[in-house]
Amino acid sequence: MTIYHPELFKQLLESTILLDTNVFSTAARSLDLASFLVLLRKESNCVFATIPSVIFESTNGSSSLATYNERLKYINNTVDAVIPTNFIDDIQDFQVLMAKLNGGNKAYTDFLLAACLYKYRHTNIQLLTADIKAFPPFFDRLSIITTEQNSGHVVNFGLYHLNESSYTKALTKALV
Amino acid sequence: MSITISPKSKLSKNDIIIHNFRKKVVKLNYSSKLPSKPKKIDEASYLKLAEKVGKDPTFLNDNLPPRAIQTAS
Repeated sequence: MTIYHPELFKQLLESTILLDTNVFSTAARSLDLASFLVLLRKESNCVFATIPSVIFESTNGSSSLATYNERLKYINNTVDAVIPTNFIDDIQDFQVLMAKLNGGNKAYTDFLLAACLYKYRHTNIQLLTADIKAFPPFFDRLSIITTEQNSGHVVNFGLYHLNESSYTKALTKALV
Repeated sequence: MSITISPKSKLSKNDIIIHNFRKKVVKLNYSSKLPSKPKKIDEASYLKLAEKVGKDPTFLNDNLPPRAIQTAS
């Protein structure tokens, strides 16, 4: 069973949903979540994207070319595009603020996903992740999705978006 | 160890043979622009593939804690 807000599909209409590594790991072990992703894309006409760092994590440990390709194919079938993250040198304000406010989280993939939310903040983009404590407070959690793995293990996902007003306030405060 | 292009007969046991490796890896759709429309996928084959990948115990072991917890500990 996957539990979500009844208005979720409407809220996410034609949005871009950035997928974290834990979405791929959970969907591969949860028929419920994999089916939910298919339904979400169909009902909301939303697109799924991810970043190269997530692909690195997802293919890491592949013991053969066949295994590597199988994982890539799974990712390819899940997402509509892979967004390059070579823009991070152009967003130094964001780097400085994240270094100050999110210093406890050393995970570079989390930083890059957050950077995408910043770069594309003027579009309808959300991040879907189970790392619900990975990001500073200027990211708003729009919704929670709860799903169950085939093993019975329950996983909570959050949908996050950068709140530009909170970001500006935090940046102003940090630079004083 | 060396990387070389030569007839097979001249290869030593330490040579690495790379033959159209790129063609053998599944291509991903990289795009600096956000895609505007979702692609259509075949639900049944997607679910089957997801299930197959999930059965591999080396694939993103779900016993690992989230990254934020790993780095904090």
